[in-house]
Amino acid sequence: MISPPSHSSHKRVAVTALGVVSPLGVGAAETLSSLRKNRDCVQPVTAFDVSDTRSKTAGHVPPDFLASENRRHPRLHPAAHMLSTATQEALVGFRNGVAELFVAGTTSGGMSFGEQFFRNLLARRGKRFNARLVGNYMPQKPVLDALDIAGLRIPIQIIANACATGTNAIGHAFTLVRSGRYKAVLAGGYDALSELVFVGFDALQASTPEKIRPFDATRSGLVLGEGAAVLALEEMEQARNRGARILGEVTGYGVSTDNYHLTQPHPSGIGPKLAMQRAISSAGRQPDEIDYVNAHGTATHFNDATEGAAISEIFGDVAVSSTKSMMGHCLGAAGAVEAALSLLALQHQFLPPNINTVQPDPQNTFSIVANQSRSADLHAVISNSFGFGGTNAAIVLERTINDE
Amino acid sequence: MTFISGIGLVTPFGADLDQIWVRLLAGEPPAVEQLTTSLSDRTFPYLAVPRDAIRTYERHPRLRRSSEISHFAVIAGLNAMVDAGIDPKSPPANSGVVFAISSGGVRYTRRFFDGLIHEGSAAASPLLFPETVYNAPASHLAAVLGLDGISYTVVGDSSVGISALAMGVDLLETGQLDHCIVVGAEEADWILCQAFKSWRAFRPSDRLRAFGPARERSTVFSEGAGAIVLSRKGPVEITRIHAGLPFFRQSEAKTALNAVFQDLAHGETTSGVVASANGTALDDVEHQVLDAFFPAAPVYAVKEMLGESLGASALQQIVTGVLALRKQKFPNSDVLPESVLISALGYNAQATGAILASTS
Repeated sequence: MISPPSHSSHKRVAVTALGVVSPLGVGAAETLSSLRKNRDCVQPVTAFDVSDTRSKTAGHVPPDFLASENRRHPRLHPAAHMLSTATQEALVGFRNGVAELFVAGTTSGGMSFGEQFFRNLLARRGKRFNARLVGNYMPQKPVLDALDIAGLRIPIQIIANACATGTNAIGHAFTLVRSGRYKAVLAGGYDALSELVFVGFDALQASTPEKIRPFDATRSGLVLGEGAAVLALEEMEQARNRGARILGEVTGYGVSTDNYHLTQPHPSGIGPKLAMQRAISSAGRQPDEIDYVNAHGTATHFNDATEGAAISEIFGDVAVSSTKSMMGHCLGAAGAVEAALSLLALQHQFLPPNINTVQPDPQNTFSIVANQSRSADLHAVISNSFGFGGTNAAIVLERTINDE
Repeated sequence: MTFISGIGLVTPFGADLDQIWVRLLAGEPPAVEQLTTSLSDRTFPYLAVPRDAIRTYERHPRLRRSSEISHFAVIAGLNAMVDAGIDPKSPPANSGVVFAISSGGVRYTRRFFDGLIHEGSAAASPLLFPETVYNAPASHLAAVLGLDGISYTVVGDSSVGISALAMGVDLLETGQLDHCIVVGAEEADWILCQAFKSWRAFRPSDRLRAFGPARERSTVFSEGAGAIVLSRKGPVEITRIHAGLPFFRQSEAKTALNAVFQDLAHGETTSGVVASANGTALDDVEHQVLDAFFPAAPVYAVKEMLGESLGASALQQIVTGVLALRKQKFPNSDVLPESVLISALGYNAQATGAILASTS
């Protein structure tokens, strides 16, 4: 047992609710079940033409969920459906909590509506329809929709830091609560699949026609996904005083910017290394107190080489998995979804699997949670997200025993 | 307390602060140019940044392939650092970036998708795609400055610059940064003009006419950047800032702005207001609420001169306010400004604002 972190001037930051929608399922219960059953939730893409792309698969949120939400709110973008549903789930868990701010992250907002608008212009059609597409294309619109449906009127901050953005959103919200500037903040991320982004990663030859195999010697690239997740972060004392259920605790956050290249990390792994070291230091922990790394693990050559080197250097041997192996890379939602998965792992004391593992990359010193989830004694975990523009972010999450 | 220690602008009047100020006081807007499209004979008027103003970094390794939005941002950001007395080649430790954006690298995004449609996904450009990502300009700015810490890009409507300012203030006041460059930037493209026209939120014109009767209002899009450096000391203090309140339909905008001003006006006075009025129906809301809370303060609609630059606009309003405090002159008024309200009512997301005051 490790003792709770001690920073006398800092507030402790509890997670008092979560909501999640991802290819693993709708809601925490379905998600947990998929994680435990090692489900491969990557499917063929049917929403747009992939006949000329290398990759032809992606992680999709359940289509019946989207169809149902579309009937309820037919004007909204799929990203709004996902974020709204995740927000609603979080608010149910938050019960009588009062959020003062929503910090969200996205990479592409309602991009597919922008694509449709452009196609309509080229075809000179859809004049009446186009106003709706434009109004719902904007990156902030899904957050507005989620708040509107929830009946919340609180300030919003929307971070768009490429694939690190979900972790940035939670990390920034954490710093605001920890410092005492806010008592309770909703934080999360969202993104829906879009043709432009799908083809973009394909053009960079970052995506794979095969299975996604993070940290594997045979890895050949990433698979995209989609989803949304929202956490309620709350000052611990307030949460306890109001009898909130404590799902866990955010204890550390670290960021770094790697200026080596717009899309490639520095080969030394300095970007991921600094982000992880800063997060661990922020948590007041030592690397040997971290029990599990939920890695960024995109299965691209560059990411896994640099992240793998950084994890190996910092931790030596530690349990590592990339849950992207099961659902693809959810981009702006990834950090938030993976924080939710890490919390479920802490709550239910198990290691989520790194499926599709064939031959772990011998360059790495850590232990891949190969193919099967398994029980574990978890107290502190770190969740990584890295993105274009050299943005790197990591958060430390810890289990909270109720009498601590 | 957080202060503004430096400012920078890139506008249709160029990038020289003194020259921009003279042009603002003169009250004659820049000449419009026309954006053309291959889809039709239609053209879209807009206010362009003079290309001479953005040549400084055209050969920089990180910027030679980037879209103009990144050039706008880098030039405004570096000018703000120089204005703050900071050498951009060796910025102080613990400096970071917060970047405000609405549409981002829209030219490359449109070109990338156009290529995808016309030439197929196999011909999609790997050079264009990375520049379509919202945080590409912020990444270029951090790279030019050699900053390896916090760099956040914030997205939203034309109020997003105040959200970015609020985030920058948070980063200083929670001790995460000692200096923060807050930049807002946007580039114009015909697809953007077409989109807003289709949305029917704006009445496009060759001149932005704010406030006044509805039939006389109109909007012109523009491009450029605004930048400030936040520090722990400086000639201008941010005395109040509101994190913003969302509104979900125009009918709710007045309630949101009322609540924002209720908070901002608490114990504060203002010598003048730099308004966000942009020639749309929301001008009425802003006018009514300003009239209720600050009836004696002169109101300056800077977008009548600089156009609607979306993600850049609120930062350009802030820089205008700082210039007024520095120059001890409020445009179109005899007031000697001691404090300035920056009012921001976005086109579809948030109402927000901040009050700036001279420390001298």
